[in-house]
Amino acid sequence: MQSQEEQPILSIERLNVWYGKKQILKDLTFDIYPKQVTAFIGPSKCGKTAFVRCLNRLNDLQHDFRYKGNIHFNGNDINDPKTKSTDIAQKIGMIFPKPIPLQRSIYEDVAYSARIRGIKQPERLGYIVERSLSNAQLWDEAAENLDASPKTLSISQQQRLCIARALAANPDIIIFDEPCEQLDAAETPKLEAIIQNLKSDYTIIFVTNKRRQAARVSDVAGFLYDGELVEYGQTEEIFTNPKDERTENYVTGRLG
Amino acid sequence: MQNYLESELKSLQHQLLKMGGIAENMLRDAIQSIQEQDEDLALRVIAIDDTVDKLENEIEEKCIQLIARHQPVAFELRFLTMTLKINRNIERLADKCVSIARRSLELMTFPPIQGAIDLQPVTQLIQQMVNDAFDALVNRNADLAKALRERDNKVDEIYEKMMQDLCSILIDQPQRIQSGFGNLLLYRHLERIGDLAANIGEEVYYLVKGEVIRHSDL
Amino acid sequence: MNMSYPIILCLTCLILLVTLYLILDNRHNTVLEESDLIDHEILTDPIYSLQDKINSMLPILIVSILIGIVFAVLLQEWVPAESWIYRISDFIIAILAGIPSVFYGLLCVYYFLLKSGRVSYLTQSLTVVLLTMPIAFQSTQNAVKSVDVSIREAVYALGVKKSKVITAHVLPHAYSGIMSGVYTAVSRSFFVAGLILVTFTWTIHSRASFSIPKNASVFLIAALLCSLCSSLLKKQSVNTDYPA
Repeated sequence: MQSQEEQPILSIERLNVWYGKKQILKDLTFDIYPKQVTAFIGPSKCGKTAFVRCLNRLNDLQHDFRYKGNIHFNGNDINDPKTKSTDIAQKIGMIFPKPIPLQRSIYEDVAYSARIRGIKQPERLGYIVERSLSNAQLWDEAAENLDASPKTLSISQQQRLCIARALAANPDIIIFDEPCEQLDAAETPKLEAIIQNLKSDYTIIFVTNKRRQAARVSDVAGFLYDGELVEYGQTEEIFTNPKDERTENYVTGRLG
Repeated sequence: MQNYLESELKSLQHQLLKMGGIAENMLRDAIQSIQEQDEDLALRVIAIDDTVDKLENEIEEKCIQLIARHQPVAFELRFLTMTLKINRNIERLADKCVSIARRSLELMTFPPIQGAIDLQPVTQLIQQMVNDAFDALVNRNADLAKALRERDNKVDEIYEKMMQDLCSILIDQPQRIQSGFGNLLLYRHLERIGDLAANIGEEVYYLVKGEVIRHSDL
Repeated sequence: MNMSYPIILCLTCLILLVTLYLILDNRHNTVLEESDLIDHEILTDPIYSLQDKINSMLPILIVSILIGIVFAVLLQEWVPAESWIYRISDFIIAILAGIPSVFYGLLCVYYFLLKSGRVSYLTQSLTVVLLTMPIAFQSTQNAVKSVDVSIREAVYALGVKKSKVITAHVLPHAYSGIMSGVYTAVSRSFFVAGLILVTFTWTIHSRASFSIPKNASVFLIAALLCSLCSSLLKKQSVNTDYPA
């Protein structure tokens, strides 16, 4: 992480976040580099989800959301009033814990996000749908019945459909917010493999409360505790030789 | 779709075999340097040891990372613990080769003893053993791995025999005592290499069968 | 919502009740004399002319339901729940929706009609709006509110504009809730229309005086009280039932 000469894709400076009167995030300052899996771990309610929601401005939906500090995405302040939140959301995709199909057919569901960015030609849409579905490892299972309702898919397949939909929007960053929450344990490795494959083309931010999963999947990990970024560094470092006692306690399972 | 850990383990084994290959070459060169009194070869063996040390560190770190990140079980766990141990054994094997090369350089400076003992049987045997140990690892061949222990006993027998022979030679030629001491240490190193090959064999057996045969009767 | 909210609501409720009681009490002995309405069209052809009037109210009915729906969506989606506009609108609508439909009918007949002596287009329209708009508003508001927040988030996260999120995703999901409100509103207005027709026909045919006896007004006021309480308390819970 530090060794890389590359420019950070996201740089967070002194970010403080409040929901109502409660401070959720305290003074976060760090950089996220492209083409890596950056995981955020921590006990529930530690502010992981609140943090990633700042990145794609989903927190704007929260009426009592307040923030202080800067988030720069490729050098542009994402909270700048001149920056459109829809543009940010298109560049920073998000996968939620619960898969939510939005359209009547699998094809339309994936094509939907491509249509949003103005693609209308049927051949291009078809190409994007196929590529997105294969990147999400759903093409083999769904190619036969693209016109079927997404509700006919299993939860795991629906989650992969959501990944395909996010990919079809052509994002730079994809946020996975506890994507395996609703999945069978047996389906988890598949999703982890997808994330590993995607990291060559996208920057991945991965939020999980399963430390083992973060250890398996991520290159860089951050440990959030009570709104503070206790430790941030190479995953190996965090899991073999953490600097902070709280991190040590968390990764060994004594905390949270 | 290959499991991420699986591919990591493959590359780890690849690295381990690469290190083994280097050690094997070192052994061959060290023995050759004794037999042909080749100073350059001996120096080269000593120089290459750094690479092995570096590889050892790399492999060890990688193993610890994989254990920390994937918390492996069953075969994967056996593979990683075995890799850690074989890694250590290979490094020691390389160290022995360096010692042999050092002895070889030293022996070149002394006048040789008359009617010296033939090294051929023991060097051939240990080279074959090291080679078979890596073969057993690649092919997951438990029988070949287990057989190494018996072959190590053979090495020990030859070693005893060589010591006795050396002893009787030195009684006749007490003025060659320096060279005699050098030879003594050399035999010891060669014998130790047989032990290391047998150790690797035991680890491979554990990997394949999941059973510890170290310290057990044959 | 803080604890003072229900207390304020109950007080307002009481004030409203007292006012209504006074109105009814002052006029409960008012008699619809023949002479009062002698030159009135109702007498000449009561049923048909009323039927006519009610038919002419249909466009008003539709418009008022639509206004209720649009107003609810705008308020719910664009006005923050803490702002005073939201609070006041919410409060007024809760009270209007809580008043039993029969009161609107009676007020229309008793207060507007008898006091002004003629049925004006404005009076009728106002009654229809008061009858239907709050119900349409409340059911739309509840339906929109109850759309799973994760659907919105999933769509926002794809970079869809807010107006599109609401028209293309929130409203379709709220459709059944909104339609249930529409039917309730329509049924309320038809019910009142029917009630007025029955009462008038009976009054005119029997030549009896049109008045509300004191014991009936007690029941009516009790009904009003219960209805209002139910409506206001419902605002406190997350229940999405609609008042009948």
